[in-house]
Amino acid sequence: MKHTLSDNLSVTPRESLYATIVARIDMEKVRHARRQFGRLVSGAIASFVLFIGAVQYATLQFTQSEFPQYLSLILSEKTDLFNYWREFLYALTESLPLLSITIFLGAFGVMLFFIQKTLKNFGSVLPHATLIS
Amino acid sequence: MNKSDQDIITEYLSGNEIAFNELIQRYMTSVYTFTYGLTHSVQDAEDITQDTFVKAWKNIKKYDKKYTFKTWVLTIARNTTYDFFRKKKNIPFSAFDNTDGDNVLTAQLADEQPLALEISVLAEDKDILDTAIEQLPPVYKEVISLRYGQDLTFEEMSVVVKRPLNTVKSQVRRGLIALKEVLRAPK
Repeated sequence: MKHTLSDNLSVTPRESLYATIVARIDMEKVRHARRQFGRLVSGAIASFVLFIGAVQYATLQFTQSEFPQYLSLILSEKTDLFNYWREFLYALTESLPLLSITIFLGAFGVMLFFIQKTLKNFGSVLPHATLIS
Repeated sequence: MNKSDQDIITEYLSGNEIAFNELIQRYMTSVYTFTYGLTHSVQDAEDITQDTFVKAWKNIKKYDKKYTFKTWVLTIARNTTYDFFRKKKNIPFSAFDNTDGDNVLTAQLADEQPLALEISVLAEDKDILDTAIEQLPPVYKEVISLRYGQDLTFEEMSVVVKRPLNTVKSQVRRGLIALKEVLRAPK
C-alpha cells in the first residue's frame, strides 16, 4: 500500500500522554500557587511589622501633640466648650497628627490586603485545588 | 459547533481552568509527531511534548493573536527540542542553524508537490520511507515534518523555524530531492 508523505509523518502518541500532560500542568499550578502563597505570607508578615511600626509612631505622635490635652477638656470644661465649640473643634483638628494617622491607616490597609489574599489562596496550595487569582 | 482556538484561550483567561485542556487535545498529536520526527524516540518525544504544553500554559498570556495557535505551539516545540538536543549534545546545534543563505532564485521554484508524489511512489512502504527520512540532515527533517506532517504553509513554517520564507522553500525542495536520492540509492 502506497503512503503519501503526510501519512508517513503522522505518528500516534500513546493514550496515556494526554493524561500525563494534564497532570504535569496541574502539578505546575500547585507549585505556582505555593510560590505565590509564600510571597503573600512574606508580604503579610512584612505588612504586619510595618503596621506595628505605624501604631508605635502614631502613639508617639499623639502623646507628643496637644490633641490629648484638648480632648481632656471635654471632661473638665464642658460648659465653656459648649460656648466655644467652634474654636474647640478647630483646635482639636489642628492638633491632630495627620501624618501619623495617614501612615497608620495606610499600613492597616496594606496588612488587611495581604491577610485577605493569603487566606483566599490558602486552599490553592493543596493539590487538585484551583488557583484563586 | 467547534470553538475556535481564540475562543478557547479567551475562555481560559476568563477563568475556565479546564479550557486549556481542549487545546492540548487538539494539538498534542501535532506536537508529538513533530518532535518524534526530530528525535525518533518515543520517550524523548513524550518528554518534549509535555514540556512544550507546560511552557505554552505558562506563557499563554503572551500568545500573539496574529499567529495561529498551532504555529505558536510548534515554535515552542521546536525551541524545546533544540534545548533538549543541546543538553544531550548528540546533535550539533549548527546543523539546525544552517540557513543555506538567501537565494532569490529559489522564490521561483516550481511547486514541490510533484516531488512529494514521486517520493510516495518510490517508497514501497512506510518503514522504508521512515528509514529514509531518518537519514536526512536535521534541518531537512524539520522542514519536511512541518510541511507534510503538520500541513503548515511556508509562511507559518518561516515563523516556526525563524528563517526567511525563501530559505524555507528552498530547504523543503532540497529536502525532498535528498529524500528521493536516499530512496533511489542501491540497498
